[in-house]
Amino acid sequence: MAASREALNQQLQQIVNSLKEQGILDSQFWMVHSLKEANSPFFLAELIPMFCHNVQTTLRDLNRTLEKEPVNYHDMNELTMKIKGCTSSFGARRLALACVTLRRAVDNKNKDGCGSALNGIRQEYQTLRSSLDRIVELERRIVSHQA
Amino acid sequence: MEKMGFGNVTSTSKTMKIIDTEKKISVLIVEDNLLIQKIHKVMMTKFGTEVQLATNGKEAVDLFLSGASFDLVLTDLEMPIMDGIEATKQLRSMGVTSMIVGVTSRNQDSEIQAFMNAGLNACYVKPLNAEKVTVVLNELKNI
Repeated sequence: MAASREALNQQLQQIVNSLKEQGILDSQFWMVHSLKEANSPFFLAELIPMFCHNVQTTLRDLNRTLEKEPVNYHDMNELTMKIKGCTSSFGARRLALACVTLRRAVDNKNKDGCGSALNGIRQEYQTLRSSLDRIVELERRIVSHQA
Repeated sequence: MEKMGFGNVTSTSKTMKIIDTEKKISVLIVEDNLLIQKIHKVMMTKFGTEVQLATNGKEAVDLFLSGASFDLVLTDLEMPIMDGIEATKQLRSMGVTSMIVGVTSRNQDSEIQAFMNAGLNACYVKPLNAEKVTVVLNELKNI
């Protein structure tokens, strides 16, 4: 049982290290991961779906705001700050950088630039999402081994 | 810009309250995003502080008006109902001498300065991490 839990933890570490090497996650994610010791073993398995929901909802709101004429760049700015804060606090490095690109387009009131930046954010999110699903699965298996 | 402060508080409060180092540091986290709220709460708890939450600036101000006090307030900037700038101004005008630290997604100098001018002791760009928390808590203990 203990060996299997260790193997699961090693798999998790390998996935996260690989994502860090690709620049998809940064050290903030490991810090967030370490918080489960101070909270509950389910911490990360609960946090990841919250993160995904946050990103999906804000992306949806950004798209809707961009589609309206005229574009409300004040609202675009606030939503951009929201997703930037969420992604940087979670440790999703490339996603947070994609939000910086969006910020620039919003500041320049460049609608096409905003559209292109949103596509970039969507792509980065899709890249991260499948790995996050795997991490949640591993976390749940690790927790069930500890039970 | 990543960080600004810990300089002189640009508010009417001239002295900081004396922290009793025997008891836990009390922290008010003012943040509307539940994900970030959760991360910040657990992080500050891991640092041994006692944490209370407010989801916007008005809730924070109301807590102080009800008689609550905190050694440290960590506040976001953009929040519904009352933002971090307005909340900080109100707290300082009420005579609150707690350390108030801004934690924001905004990183342009002018934006950080505007937040600082409300009466913050310091302001950090998100993410809040262990290094930044250590600096803040050390600053608090050295007062």
